[in-house]
Amino acid sequence: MTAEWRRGLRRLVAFFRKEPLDQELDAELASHLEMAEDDLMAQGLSPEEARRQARIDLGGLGAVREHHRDVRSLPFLDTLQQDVRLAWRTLLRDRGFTAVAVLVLALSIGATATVYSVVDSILLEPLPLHDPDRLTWITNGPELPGGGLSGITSTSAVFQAWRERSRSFEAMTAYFAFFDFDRRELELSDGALRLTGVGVEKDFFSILGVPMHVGRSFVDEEALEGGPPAVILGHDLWRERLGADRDIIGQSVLLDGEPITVVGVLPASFDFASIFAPGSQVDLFTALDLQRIEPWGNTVSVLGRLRPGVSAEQAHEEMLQVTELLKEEQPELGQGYGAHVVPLKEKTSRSSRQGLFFLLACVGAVLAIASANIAGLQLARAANRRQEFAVRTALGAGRGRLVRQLLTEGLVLASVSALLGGGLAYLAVHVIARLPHTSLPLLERVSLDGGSFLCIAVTTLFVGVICGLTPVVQASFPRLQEALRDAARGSTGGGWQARARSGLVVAETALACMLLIAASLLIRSFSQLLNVDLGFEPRQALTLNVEPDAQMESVDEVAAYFQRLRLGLEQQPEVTAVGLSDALPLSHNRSWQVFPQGRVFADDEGRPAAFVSRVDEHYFEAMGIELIKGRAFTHEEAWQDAPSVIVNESLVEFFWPGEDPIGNVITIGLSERSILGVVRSVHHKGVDSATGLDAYVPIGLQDGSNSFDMVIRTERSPTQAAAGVRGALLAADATLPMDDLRPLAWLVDRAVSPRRFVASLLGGFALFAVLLACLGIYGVIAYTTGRRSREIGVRMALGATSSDVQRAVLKDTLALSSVGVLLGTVGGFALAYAMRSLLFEVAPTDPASFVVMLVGMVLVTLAAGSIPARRASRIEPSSTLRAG
Amino acid sequence: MPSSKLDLLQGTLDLMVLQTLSAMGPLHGYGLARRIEQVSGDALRLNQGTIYAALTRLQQRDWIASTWGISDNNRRAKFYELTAKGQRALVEETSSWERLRSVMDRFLTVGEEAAS
Repeated sequence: MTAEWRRGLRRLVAFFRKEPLDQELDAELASHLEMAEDDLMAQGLSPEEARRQARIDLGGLGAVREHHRDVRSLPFLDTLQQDVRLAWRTLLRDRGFTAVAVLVLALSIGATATVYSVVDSILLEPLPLHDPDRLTWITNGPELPGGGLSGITSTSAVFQAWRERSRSFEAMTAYFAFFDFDRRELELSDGALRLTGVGVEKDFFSILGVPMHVGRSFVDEEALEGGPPAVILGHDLWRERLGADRDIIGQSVLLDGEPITVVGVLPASFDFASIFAPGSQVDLFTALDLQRIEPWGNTVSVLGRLRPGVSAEQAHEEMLQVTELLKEEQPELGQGYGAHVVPLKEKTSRSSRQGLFFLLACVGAVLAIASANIAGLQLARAANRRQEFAVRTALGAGRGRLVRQLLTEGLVLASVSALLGGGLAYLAVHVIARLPHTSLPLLERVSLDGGSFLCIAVTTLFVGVICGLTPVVQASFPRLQEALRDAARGSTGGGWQARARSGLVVAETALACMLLIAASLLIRSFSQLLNVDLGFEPRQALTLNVEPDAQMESVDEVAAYFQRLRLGLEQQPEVTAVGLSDALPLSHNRSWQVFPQGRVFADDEGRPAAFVSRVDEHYFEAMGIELIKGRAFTHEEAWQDAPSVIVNESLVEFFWPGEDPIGNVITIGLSERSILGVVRSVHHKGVDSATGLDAYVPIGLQDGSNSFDMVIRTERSPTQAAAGVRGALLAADATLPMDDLRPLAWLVDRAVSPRRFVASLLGGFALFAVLLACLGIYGVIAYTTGRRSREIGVRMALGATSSDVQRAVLKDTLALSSVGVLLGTVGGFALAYAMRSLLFEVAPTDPASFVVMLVGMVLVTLAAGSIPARRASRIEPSSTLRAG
Repeated sequence: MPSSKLDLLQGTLDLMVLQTLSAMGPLHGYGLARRIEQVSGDALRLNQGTIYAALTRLQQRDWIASTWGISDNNRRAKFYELTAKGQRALVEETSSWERLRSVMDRFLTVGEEAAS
């Protein structure tokens, strides 16, 4: 057996060493013949006679060589090589066709591989955690589109009760969900870094199954009040800012001015933000003191690891029971409190699943169009090559050999395209994984991996077989003489073949129409989204996150600090207003229960909650939020935490429809406040979700957070004003970190990024599809008019004018495209209906989208047909007639 | 029918080559072909060229090795010799040939008995 393996290997090697091996054989045979001739002459033969006899005894040089090669190497590899070589030559001969085909196929293979990689990384691949299928996301109720974080987080007490009582989970852990309200300052030898840190339950990483890259996870006492402070660093922070220094473990660093010990570094494979807070960055982790946060209300996001064999549904049922019991013991939780368990994967992919699968389907359609297109071109070429095939058949090439040859040609074409397409996909994936501030979960993880290569291989095979076999399927090997005669006569080619090509083009056009409608609907949705009245004015404003020195003890000091910054900014002529808040819309959301003073809510009424922001006296002006009634805070009210509140219209509408609410008192958070003013509603949670109740409380309210967003409204565009603003701020406080200075519109950008992602990709696909359909129509019309030039010549000789000819060709074009458009419109309706959940403020039957598609498609195809039409009209009757 | 020559069975030529090299020591292709023709008398139909395919097969299995040298009558020629692996292979191939022959013998004898 081993001897045969050895031989197989040698044969493979021999395939690549043809030249030297042939030479060696020739030398050996030459010496053989010389010795044989010597012997034969010694036996008395004449030199000529000896030469002849020696060759006869050997058995013919050519035959010996052939036999030797078959034994020495692998004959099928040789045939394959010949086929590939021939295919290559054929493709090179027809450069125009090859260039178009490779370009078209490369683009579609590249697009397919890219979208597949995105889908694979975001939806299909398991999360980069240990046994991720058993991880679940546990909330106190189903996640509602417009709901705030407080609606889905839990109190630390509930979390601990859940953890103790539920039997469905092997382990439960949690993290502090409102982490982005605070920035942490890490002091390094070369300056301070403003970072985002998350408090996590001490076993968070071990329960998720994230091993430390170096160091260890938290130990019990590190999560207790007064315990040794410990921090775990994210991999990027450690590598990029700390030089991947392994000795950092056990060292003490200054975080917010306090010494804290680095105990571990996370592995590169785990990116907290990409799973739990897409579009943001999280750099470090501290152990969460569950006791300390207990009075803060719903603040933790809970994760559970299911016991083996327990499904998320079973766990959900059990958690509902556990929570019911809990509510009986702690009535203050309120009746609205429930439990909701979903697989973690479902949570991370929920927002993007539909859009991505839709994209995948669309890119599949593009691939189909491209293949149909190339198949159509191949049909046309096959008609021209019928003579070649007939000749080769006449010379003895078997049908099987010809089929193999065509298949090889298709596969070579597809492989070359796949190489190019793979390169394109690599670039595209690289760009997508680094798309700035796009809030799609796991987007950073997108890469070309085994799955992508498999996808490329499968599409290549698919495309190759389609392109290769189309000309075979058609009546390509009819009776020989007929083919030879046919080609010489220059008729339009078999009716079957013409119908097949027209069918392909109609299908292409229909698919392209459907994509165009889908793209148009999504793009219109997106523009509707951009036109949404956000309730504030995102243009012409900058924001900067500012954390006053933690040493500032009193509110007065903080107020004075901001006053200084404001004065500096106001000296800039382009700055018109400067406001402060701790929770900008579309970035932070925190909601508190709210109800009118004295009003008791029945249990089944639920408890309304409002998005709460702490703001100063200039906030509404700086944000461009319209004050409808009453007034804003004064400076004193804002900073001294006067018992006042400013609410939005929706809140007034909710509690006192039609009444004047000014002076009414509401209970919000832990205090009672009288309403000072009413403002317009703001889209707090998302651009495409409904507005809710808003409440603005004075910025002087102490809630432990010391991080503020400064909103600076400018007269010029934010990018033009940025330099001046930066200078003014640095003049007021030279140590102020400026990394976060960015346009307010950035928040809107990030909020709409998933839709923009899908809409722009689909728009690109649709354009490409239309282009392909045009190419297909052009190909068919140009080809048929070319074949009909004699007939046209005759007609013109009989008196048809060139415009008659043009009209006739355009009529053919129109016939083709209108059938396609008609089918496409029907398909488009179906598609639009299927994708209606992806639409925003656009009906699936949106007339504009359909009309634009219809008119556009017909015009574009007519343009494609006009080129061959004009060519046909310039036919010289005399020359075509003579050529026949 | 002694006048008709025998065609070589698949694999038999390889065994003849091994055996010849084992008996005669290093030989070139022409010498091998001549030797096999001599030993088999006129009974075999041998295209001398097929020797080279057999030699390639054996060499690819590492059963023989080759070097260029000078022949008795001063011609440059490629000489083949048996390797240790080839020696072992010869023993094995011989015994399997013997087994095949005895099976064939028995088979044909039984056939004759049945026929008679």
